[in-house]
Amino acid sequence: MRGLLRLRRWLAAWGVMVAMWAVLLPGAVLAQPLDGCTLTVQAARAVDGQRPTQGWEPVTLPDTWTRRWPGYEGTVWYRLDWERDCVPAGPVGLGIAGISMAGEVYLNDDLLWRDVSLQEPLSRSWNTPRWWLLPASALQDTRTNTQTVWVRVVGLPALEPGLGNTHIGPAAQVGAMQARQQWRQQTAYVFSAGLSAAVGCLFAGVWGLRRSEQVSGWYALMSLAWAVYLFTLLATNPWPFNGTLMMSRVNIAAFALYVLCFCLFTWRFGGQHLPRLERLLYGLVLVSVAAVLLAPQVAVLPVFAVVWVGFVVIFFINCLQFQWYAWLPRTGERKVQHMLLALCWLAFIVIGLHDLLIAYPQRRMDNTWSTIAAPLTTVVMALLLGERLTSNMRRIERFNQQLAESVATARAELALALEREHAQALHSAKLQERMQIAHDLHDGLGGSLMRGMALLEQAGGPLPNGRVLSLLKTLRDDLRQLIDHGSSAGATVPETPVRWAAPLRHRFTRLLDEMEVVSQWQVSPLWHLPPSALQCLGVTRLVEEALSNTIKHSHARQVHVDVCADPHRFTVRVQDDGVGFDVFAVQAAGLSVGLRSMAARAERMGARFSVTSKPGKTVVEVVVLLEP
Amino acid sequence: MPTLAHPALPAPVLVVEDEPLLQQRLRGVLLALGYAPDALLFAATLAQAQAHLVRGPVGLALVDLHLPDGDGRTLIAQLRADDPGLGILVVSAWSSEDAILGALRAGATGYVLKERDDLEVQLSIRSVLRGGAPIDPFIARRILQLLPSPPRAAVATEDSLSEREGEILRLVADGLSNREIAEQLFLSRYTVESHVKRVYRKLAVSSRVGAVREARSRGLLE
Repeated sequence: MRGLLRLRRWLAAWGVMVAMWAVLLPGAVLAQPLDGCTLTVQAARAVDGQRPTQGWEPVTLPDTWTRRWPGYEGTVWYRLDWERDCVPAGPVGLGIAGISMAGEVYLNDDLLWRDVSLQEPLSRSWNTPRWWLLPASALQDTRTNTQTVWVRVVGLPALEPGLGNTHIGPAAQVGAMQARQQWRQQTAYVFSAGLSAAVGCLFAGVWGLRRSEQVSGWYALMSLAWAVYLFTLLATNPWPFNGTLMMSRVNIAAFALYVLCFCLFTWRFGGQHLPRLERLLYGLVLVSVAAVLLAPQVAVLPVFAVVWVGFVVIFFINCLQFQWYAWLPRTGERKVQHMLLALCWLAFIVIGLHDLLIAYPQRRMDNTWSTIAAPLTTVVMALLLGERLTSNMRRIERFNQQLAESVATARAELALALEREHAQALHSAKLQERMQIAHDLHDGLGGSLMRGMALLEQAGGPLPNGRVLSLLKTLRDDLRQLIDHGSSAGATVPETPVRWAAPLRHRFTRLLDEMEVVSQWQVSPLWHLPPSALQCLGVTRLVEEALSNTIKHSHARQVHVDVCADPHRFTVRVQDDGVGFDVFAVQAAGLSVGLRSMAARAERMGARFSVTSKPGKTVVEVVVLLEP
Repeated sequence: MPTLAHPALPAPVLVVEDEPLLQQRLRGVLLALGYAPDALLFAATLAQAQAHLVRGPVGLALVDLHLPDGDGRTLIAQLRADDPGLGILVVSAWSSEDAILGALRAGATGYVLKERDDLEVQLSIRSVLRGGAPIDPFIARRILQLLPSPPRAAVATEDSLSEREGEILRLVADGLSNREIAEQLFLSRYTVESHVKRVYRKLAVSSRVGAVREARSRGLLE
């Protein structure tokens, strides 16, 4: 299906090309005999430029005088005699296909037309078809009925000087023929030159933006060289050069360059690697261009001929070798692109042979086919590049699709990897947390347990129930601290000291109120530097224990709690007016589980803990030093 | 230790607790409060509690949240539905804040942690008996987050806090006791406690309203 579509595309493109041929070829194919007048043509050299009276020689048109008078440079007069009654009625037209280089035209003795410049820099009329309506008043009313058209031609021996095909006949016929010639000799060339220049610029742009596109680069150069070549054919004056010969030198040089670019384009396009041949061609072109541009005037003719023919031969050889390369490739399969180009080059061979063997020998510039070369290559190049572009686009589309797929795959893989990583991190965090909990159990609860066991062992006898109970309560409090630390509430530092103190204050105020003990709390409103969560919990437990002791043992009537958040320390002070106790005695006897566990707790969190007591004033103080 | 030997103690007392030793402990605390042994009903499971309730209403309930056959909250909700004025005290083990808040929203009047000393448990029971409503700083903070505060001078609706209630809750959150709050706001302690009870009721209402809203949003109610 796709192959069929592609075939249809090719056919459509070929259709366009055939249409071009049809547009460009009329005149050449439809050239018809003209029922005009029979002309008797004679030519004579004019040394002073004036119409010579003698030396007339019969010639046939188109005429190049260097065949008769080799090396003659200057003016030649042509005398065209015809019978008035060859055109029975109506206006008579005179048509000249070209004058090489410049000239003037007389009917009998009346000047009909004259080139802008009849001396260097000469006007260039060699490729310009013209026609005139012969004024009836200028026709001589003679008995013999013979009329004469005089054409004065100024030319250079190197540039095939002479007169082109000339017709005299009914004005309408001559006009129609001239219009066809105008199309073939001028319009088609202008069209081709414009096309080549435009395509050249386009491909030069492509190459300029992407230097690796050598095919485009060479095609651009080829097109531009061809445009220059056509420009030199079309120019009606030597501008921008100072002489008409220079224009012809440039013409030949442009052709040589064209053939060079043509070959390199072909090779690059076909992927042919011919470095030696390439160097040889470069050298040849260099030498040829130099020779064409610098050759002395006398040597111009053979140099032009050699270079011209030489490059035409190279052109043909290249066209032929590519046929082999495209149709009978030494490796791999035939490529559609190569075959298409080969077809195009085959067409070039036909065109070239036609022009070389038919048009040029007859000096029939109106009969050349080379004008269609540029449109032909343009169409073929459009096809080839279109094919390339679409295949590139298809590749890009495919690539984009693959890219999207691989991005999706990569993304999925990444997500999976991240998930795995996250799970791993989670696992390790859990493990760490569990280790932390075990550590805390060991340090906190374990420590208390060991102390309790030691106490029981060293007691040497059964302990009173109260002592055992307080031991167990210490353990309970340690466990509570662990649990609180593990909970969300314990993991964060309260926003303010007030918030920190609130649970303690609430709980103990209620108890103390119930026992009719006056309690007062003094709490700093804000942290300067907040303690850690662990420190907060630790101090909470300490104060809890201190207040529990006060409630149980002190018989106090007043309790004062001071919570002070200084810039560098966090101090909590619990003071009561109870009975007090002998701190040293209690410590020495190892009696108070509470006091010892409090001290151990303070030590664990790096806090300073002190107890002073006397009747009427017991102060428990814990100071946490804060480091920024 | 002052005891409250009140002839009009609400009876019987339903104690829902699955641990026999702790049952004994609560029995001791209640006896110390002046209850007669025959006024105490003990249940180790929700089923036993239901069996007691079938025989007649109770005057006070002490409920543990974690029971062998279910969550104490359902019992609390049932008790509250039967008697809006009933004192219900949660006696809970190592419960999370959320569990305690859930119990309060189900209709509990207060809570006390089992780990506390007898004295503290006794105090909490007495507070409930007095018709008070024990409230914690953390509970106060959570209620302040849960119940919307209306703009100033606006009338408090069924499930939003009045200005005074908000003020009291903020002081509770800072750890002040009801006595201290009463002194600071020049109110009677009784007034403060009735404010707190109203807040609890709003909490229960808001949980019901929330439940209805939830049910509507899930398409369970038309």
